[in-house]
Amino acid sequence: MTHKVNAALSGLFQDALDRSGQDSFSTSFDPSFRSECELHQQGDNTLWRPRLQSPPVDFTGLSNAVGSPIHPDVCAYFGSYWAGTLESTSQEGHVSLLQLWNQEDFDRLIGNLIGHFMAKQKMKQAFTVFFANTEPDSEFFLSIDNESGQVLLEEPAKPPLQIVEQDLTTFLKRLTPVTVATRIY
Amino acid sequence: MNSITLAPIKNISGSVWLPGSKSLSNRALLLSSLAEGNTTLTNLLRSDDTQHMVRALHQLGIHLDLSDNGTRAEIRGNGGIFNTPIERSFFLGNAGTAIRPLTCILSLIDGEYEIDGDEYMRQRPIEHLTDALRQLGADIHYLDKEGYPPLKIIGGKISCGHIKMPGHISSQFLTSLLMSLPLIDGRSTIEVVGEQVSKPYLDITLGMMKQFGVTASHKDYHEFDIPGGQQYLSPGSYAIEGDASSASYFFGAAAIGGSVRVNGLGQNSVQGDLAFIDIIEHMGARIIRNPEWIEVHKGPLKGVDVDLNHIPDAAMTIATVALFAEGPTRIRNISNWRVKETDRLQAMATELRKLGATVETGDDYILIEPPQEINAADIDTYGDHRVAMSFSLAALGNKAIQINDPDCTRKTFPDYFDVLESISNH
Repeated sequence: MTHKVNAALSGLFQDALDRSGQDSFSTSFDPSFRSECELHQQGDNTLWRPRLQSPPVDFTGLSNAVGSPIHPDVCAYFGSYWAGTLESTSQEGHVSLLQLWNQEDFDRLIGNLIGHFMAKQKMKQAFTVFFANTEPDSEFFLSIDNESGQVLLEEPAKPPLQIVEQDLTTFLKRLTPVTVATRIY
Repeated sequence: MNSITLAPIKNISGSVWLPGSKSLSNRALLLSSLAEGNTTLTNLLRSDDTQHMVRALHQLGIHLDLSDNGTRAEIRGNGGIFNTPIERSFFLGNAGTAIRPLTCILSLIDGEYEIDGDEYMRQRPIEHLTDALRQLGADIHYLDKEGYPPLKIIGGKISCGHIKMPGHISSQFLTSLLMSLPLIDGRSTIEVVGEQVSKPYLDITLGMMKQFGVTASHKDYHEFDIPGGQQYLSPGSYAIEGDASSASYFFGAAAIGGSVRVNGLGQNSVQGDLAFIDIIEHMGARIIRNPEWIEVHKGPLKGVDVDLNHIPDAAMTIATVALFAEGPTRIRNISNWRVKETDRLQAMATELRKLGATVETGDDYILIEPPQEINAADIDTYGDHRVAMSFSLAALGNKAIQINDPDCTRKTFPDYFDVLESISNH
């Protein structure tokens, strides 16, 4: 399954570049938050292309914290590339795929996931791993059920709202990248 | 699959209280706090979002007393922008409707502030808002990841000017700017480039600002003109509205068979979805309008030919009300149904046919010939909460209706079926 998630993600990045007619993505430049995926700076922006993580980020710490193995799709999803957020759309609406910019971003994600785990534990709910936001004004987010690998729609501090897809690869394959300018001025 | 069977409903009678919407509650709390004079807010939503806003306003020195189980607030307005508070770190949980306007407001106040949220908020970008504020001179830094909370704001650096922002951004971002910029000296303008943000949401914001004595205008939602140096004025009391699109199901049910009073929505509502009652009035329902509630009474319904492009959500309720009208109903200009979470046009046609209706669809219309008698049916909801709620009205056809996957209503109206049951007589 791991390579399938990786391949679906690669396909999406390539599709996004093809649609934009560019050979790189652009995001705000932050001198204190650099990434191996950055190519060069252009004005206030930095141009980047997804770069394979080598070695991939290690979920052992999170696994120890939550007391169970982390679903392989989660490890594959966050362990494929150093990259920026990928904007896309699905039949259900907008999907903003979270990706990792650098190791510090991964540490930050783990911190937030442990917070999420504790909230889930308090509510006696199964652990999920968030991986995408929905519409900009919406609090709904998409997560992966750590046990089954199903893609779920959730909102903070509530039980999951619905199963969106049986597995992450199938879900990623039905996304269409959209061009969303991060800066227009 | 999970399902709920609605027993045949003989008639509808009673009252429904719609809780104030989350974003309207937080906008009202903020504007009342900035206003000259005291304000009594009623029908406030009790939620984490409003609690975070209330806590932040207390921190900003506002005298704000909650009563009636948190649904009523007495607020002593500050008569302008807040003074520099003693405690300058703000934790706003996952309250998007608090962090966004407060980021703007704190940018206007002298002093150094930190704004943070919980693990969910820290994964939600705020870059478009900070970028917009920086165009007016705001000094905002990301304390962690570029574009995301937590933020450090060095306030008091903003001056009036021109902001250019992309159209796909959050309507809450634009609303936050619209509410804040009238407080600075001089005229500001916002140019929205590209596809437009949610117009109804912005209409509600501008309508509410007007009720608090402040004006801003726009040209086709692409250019916003915000005169500066304005002062919010308390309207004295302000009833926070419920979600008009949620009310449509109860109005529709009463129009078919009975009567209902919906509290929390008044005739002066700023929500476009309330146009729904004009349509059912046109179909034959009797409507009584009041500043704080609206009543709908059954009438002999007749089919209509209407363009409902402006109320695509409530239009779905018209489609099920049409089952009980005399003659066909044509709902036009609703191709936007197709871009919602499911292909609603096809979904509605399929399910209406199960109930016995003769249905024709085109690219942007649906024509519904009501049946002589409604069939008992299993309704598929396609994971779409509005399909689930609108088809519950079919139970007024004296037949049991099974709604599959009713949990999809949890997205917007978790206790919808309980509320419907509370006004149903079997």
